[in-house]
Amino acid sequence: MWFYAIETILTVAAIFFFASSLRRDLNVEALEKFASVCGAVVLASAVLSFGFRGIFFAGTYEMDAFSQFVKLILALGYFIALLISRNIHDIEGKYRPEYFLFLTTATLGMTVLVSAKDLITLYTGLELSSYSLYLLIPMRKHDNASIEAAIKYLIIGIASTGVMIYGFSLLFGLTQTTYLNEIAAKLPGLIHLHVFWVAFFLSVVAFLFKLSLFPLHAWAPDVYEGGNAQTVGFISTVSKVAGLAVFIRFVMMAGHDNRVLEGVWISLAIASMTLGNLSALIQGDMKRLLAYSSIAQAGYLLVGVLCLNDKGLSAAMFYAAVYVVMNFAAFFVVTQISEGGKNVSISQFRGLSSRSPLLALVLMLALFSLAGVPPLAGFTGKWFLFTAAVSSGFKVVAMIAIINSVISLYYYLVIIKEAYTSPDQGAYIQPLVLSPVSRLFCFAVILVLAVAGFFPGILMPLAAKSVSMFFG
Amino acid sequence: MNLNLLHISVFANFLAFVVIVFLPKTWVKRSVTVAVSFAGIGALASTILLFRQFSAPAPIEWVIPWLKWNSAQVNVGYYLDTLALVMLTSVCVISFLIQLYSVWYMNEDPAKKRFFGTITFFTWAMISFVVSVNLFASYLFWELIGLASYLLIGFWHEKASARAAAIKAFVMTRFGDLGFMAAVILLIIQVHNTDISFLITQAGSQLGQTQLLIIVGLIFLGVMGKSAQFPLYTWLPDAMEGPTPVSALIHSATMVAAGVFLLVRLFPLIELSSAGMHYICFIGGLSSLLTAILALLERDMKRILAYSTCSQLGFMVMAVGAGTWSGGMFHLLTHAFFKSMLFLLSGYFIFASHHSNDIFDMAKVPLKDKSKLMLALLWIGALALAGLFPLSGFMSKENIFGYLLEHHHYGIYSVALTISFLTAYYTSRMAFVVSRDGHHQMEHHTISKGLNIALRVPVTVLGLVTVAGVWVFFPWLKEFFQLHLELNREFWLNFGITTTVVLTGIGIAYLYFGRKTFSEKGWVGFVPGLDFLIAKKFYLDIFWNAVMQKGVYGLAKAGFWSEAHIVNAAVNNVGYACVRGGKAVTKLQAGEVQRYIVIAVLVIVAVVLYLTFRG
Repeated sequence: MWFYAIETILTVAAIFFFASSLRRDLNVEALEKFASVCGAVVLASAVLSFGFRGIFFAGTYEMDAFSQFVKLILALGYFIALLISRNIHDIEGKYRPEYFLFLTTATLGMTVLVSAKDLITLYTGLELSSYSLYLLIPMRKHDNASIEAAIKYLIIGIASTGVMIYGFSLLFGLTQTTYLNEIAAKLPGLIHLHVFWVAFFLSVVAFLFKLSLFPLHAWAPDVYEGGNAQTVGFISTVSKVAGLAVFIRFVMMAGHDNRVLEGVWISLAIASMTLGNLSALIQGDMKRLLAYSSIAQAGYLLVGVLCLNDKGLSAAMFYAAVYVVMNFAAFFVVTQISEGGKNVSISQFRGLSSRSPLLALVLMLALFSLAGVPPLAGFTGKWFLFTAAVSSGFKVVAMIAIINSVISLYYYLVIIKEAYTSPDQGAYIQPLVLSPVSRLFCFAVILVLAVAGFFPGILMPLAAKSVSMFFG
Repeated sequence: MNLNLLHISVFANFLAFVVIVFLPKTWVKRSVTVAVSFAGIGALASTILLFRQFSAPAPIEWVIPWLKWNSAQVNVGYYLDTLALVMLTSVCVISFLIQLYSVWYMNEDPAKKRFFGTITFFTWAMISFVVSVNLFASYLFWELIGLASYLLIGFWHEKASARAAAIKAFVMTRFGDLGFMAAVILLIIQVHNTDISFLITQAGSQLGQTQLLIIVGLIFLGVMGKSAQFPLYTWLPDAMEGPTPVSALIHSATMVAAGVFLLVRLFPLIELSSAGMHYICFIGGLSSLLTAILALLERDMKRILAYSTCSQLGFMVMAVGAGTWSGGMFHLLTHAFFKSMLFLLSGYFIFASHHSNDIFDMAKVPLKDKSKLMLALLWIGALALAGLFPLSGFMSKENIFGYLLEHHHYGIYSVALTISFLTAYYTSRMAFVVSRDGHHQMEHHTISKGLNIALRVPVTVLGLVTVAGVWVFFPWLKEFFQLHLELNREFWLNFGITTTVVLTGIGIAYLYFGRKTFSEKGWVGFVPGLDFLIAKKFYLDIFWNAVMQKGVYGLAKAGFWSEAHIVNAAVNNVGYACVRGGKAVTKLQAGEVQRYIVIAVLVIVAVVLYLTFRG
C-alpha cells in the first residue's frame, strides 16, 4: 500500500473532488484550502516514498530511482498548482471542484506514465493525463478563445497519440511483446532493421507533443493564450517533465550506444530553441511569450538528453526540476497581475515594482533564471547542460544553445524593464496586496532559485542518482 | 590573523548589503550609515592587510570544495597573492571613498536605500572576483558584476535613456561573457581543473597551441565586453546615464577594471599563445586610438571621461599584449585613483553649473562660484591622465614606454605616443574650458557643513594619492612591478620624448581654449572629414544598433514570418486534401490547426524517410 502512496492519495483526492462537484451548497473557500492541504500531502508522500523500489502488476508497473525522482518533481508541481489556485477569477465557483478534479487526474496519469514499464499501461497513463488537460482548457469562463484553443489542443494531441499508437503496433509486431524490458532484451536483433527505428521514432512522437518540441510545438502559443494561467503553468511545467521522463525512458530503452536518431534529435533541438526564442521576441501577450519561451526551454532539455550519457541526462533532470519552479513562478506573477483573470500584456507589467516590490523581485529572479543569469538555478542548470553537451562532443549544438540563451535574455529583459519602470504620470497606481500564502510562496521561490543556483551540490546528486540506473 | 582581515575586507560590503536589504523601508538614513561604515571597515582591514601581507613570501590560500561533478572539481575560496592584494586594497579604498562621496551626491534622492544596497553588492562582487581561487567562481562573480552594473546604470529607471543604456550595457557585456563562459567550459573539459594557481603554472603545458589560442581568444572576448574594447566599447559612454558615483566606480576600480585584471591574472597562460598576444595588442591599440579621437570634440564632461577610460583601458590592454603585465596592471592602479577622482569632480561641476553636463556651460559659471580646491584637483587629475611628471599617471605610462623602448617595439611605441598626445590635448581642453571665468549670473548653491565633508574628503584623499602615492610606495612598487625606471640614458631619452609630446598637447589645447577668445572645435575643425567621422562615432554605434535591433528583431520577424508564410504556404498546397477533410474544423480561425498538423506530419514523414533510406 505504501509503495503507491502517491497514486492512492491522488485517487482518493480525485474521488473527493468528484463528490464535491455534485454538491449544490459548495463552500469554495474551504475547498481551496482543502486542495492546498491535499497538494502538501501528495508532496509529503512523494518525499516519503522516494526510496521505495518494487515491481507490481505483473511487471507492468515499476518504482525505480528514476520514476520516484520524477514523481517528486511532479508532486512539487502539483502542490504549487493547487497552492496558487486560490481566487481564480476566470473559472466560475461551481466549476472549481471539476478544475481540481482534472488537475488531480492529470497528475495521477503522469505518475502512471513515468512508472509504466509496458506499452498499454503507458498509453493509459498518457491518455488519462492528456484528456484531463484537454478538459481544463475550456473551463475558462466567457471565452471563446479558450474553447477554440482546447479544440486545437485536442486535435493535435489526438493526432500525435495516433501516430504513437501506430508506432507501438509496429513495435509489437517486431517483438511480440508489450513489455519495455522484453523489447530492450530483443534489441540486438532489431537495431539493424530500418523499420525498428521508424517504429521507435513514431512511438515517441506523443512525448514530443507533451514536451512541445518542434514539429509538435504549434499548439502551445494558442493553448497558453487561451487557458487560464494556473492551468497553463501546470501544462508548461508538470506535463512537460512527465513527457521528458518517459521520453528519456524510451530513448534509454534503445540503449545509449545506438545513435541512429542522434541527427534527428539535434535538428529538433536546434529548431525548437531557435524558433521558440526568435518568435518570443515579438510577442505582446505574456502567456504567448512564455509559450514560445517554453518551446525553447524544451529544446535546451533535449540538448541534455541527446548526449545519451549520465552527464547529459542528470543535467536534463536537474534543469527540469528547477524549470518547474522558475516557470511556475513566472506564471504565478501573471495570475497575480491579471485583472479578473484576463490575459496580461507585457505593457501591463509597467510599474509592478511600485505596486508590489516582492512580486517584481520574484518576476525578475524567475525571468533571469529562465534566461540563465548567474548565480540563479537556471544558470546552473544551463551550465550543466551545455558542459555536458560540449564534453560529449556536441560543440556546435552547445554553441547554438548558448547563443539562443543570449537572444532570450533580450525579451526577458524587456519584461523586467517594464516591471521596473514607473507608471505613466497621473496614472492611478493600485497597490497589489499579496495574501500571506502568496507571500510565503514568493519567499520560497526566491530561496529555491538562490539555493539551487548557489549550491547545486544538494540537488545534483539526486538527479545523477536517478539516471544512474540507466547505465548500471 | 591575515585570513581574518581578508574575511573582513571581503564580507564587509556583503554584510552591509544584507543589512540594508532587511532594514525597514523608512530607515533611509540608517542604511546610508550602515553602507559607509561597513565599507570603511572593509577599506581599513584591506589597508592593514596590505601592509602585513605585501612582502609575505606565500599567497593566502583558503579553499572549500564546492561542487564535484564527474571528473571536474570546483572550489571556492581565496587565492590572495600580491597581485590580488594590491587590487583588493584599491577596490576597497576607492569604493569606500565613492560611497562617502555619495552621501553628498545622493542626499536628495528618495531611493537612497536601493542605491547603497546595490553599490555595496556591486563592490562585494568585484572584491570576490579579485580574490577568487577558481576561474569558475570568478566567472560567477564576473556575471554578478555585470548584473549589478545593469541595476546601477539603470538606477534612475524613470528615464527612458537610462533604461536603454542599462539594457545595452548588460546585453553587450553578456555577449562578451559568453566567450569567457565557453573558455571556462573548455578548460574544465581539457585540463579538469580551473584553480587559478593551477592555470597559471601547469595548465599551459597540457594544452596544444591551437587549443590555447582558442581559449585565449574566448577569454579575451570576455575582456573586450567588460573592459569596453573595440568593437564592444559603445556601451560605456552610454553608461553615463547612471548616477555619477556609479560612473566613478564603474570606470575606475570595478567593472571595466575586471577585464584588464583578468588578463593580468591569467597572464602566464595567455603569454604562451604568441598569436593571441598579437591580437590582444592590436585590439587594445585600436580601441585606445579610436576612443581618444572620439573624445576630441565631445562637450559632455562625463562622456569625455568615459572615452578617456576606454582609451586608457585600451592602452593597458595594448601594454599587456606587448608583453608587460606589470605595465598594464600598474597603470590600471594609478588610473583607478585619478579617474575616480575626475568623475567625482565632474559630479561637483555639474552641480555647480546647475545640472548641465556640457563643459561650455560650466565655462559660463563665474570663477568665484567654483571651489578653488575642486579646480586644483581637476588640474591634478587632468595632468595625471595626460601623464605629466611628477604625477602618478606619468609613472605608470613612463613604465610602459620604457618597456616598449627596451624591447624595440617601435611601432607600438609610436602608436602609444600618438595616444599620449591626443590624451594630453583633450584632457587639458576639458580642464581649460571648465576653469574659465564666465559671466553668467546664477543663484549660488550652498552645501551644508556635514555634506561638505562628504564632498571634499574623498576627492582630496584621491588627489593626495595621485600626487604622492607612487612616490611614498616607490620602493615596494618598483620591486613588485619591476618598473622600467632606471635612471640611465634610455630613461632620459624616453622622458624627453614623452614630456615633449604631452606638453605639445597641452600647449595646443591652451592656444585654442586657454586664451581670452576660444573656439569650440579647436584644430579638429580644420582636419577635413574628421569631425564628420567623430560625429558619426566611426559608424560603430549605428552598426551595433543595426545588429542589435534591426538584426535580432528582423531575424525574429523572419523566423516568425517564415513559419507563418513559407512553411504554411508550402503546407497549404501540399496538404490541401487534409484541409478539405477537416471541414468541421475550418470554422476555427484561419484553419491553423490543419497547418500545424500538416507541418508536424511532413516533418515526421521526412524523419521516417530519412530513417528508412539512410545508408
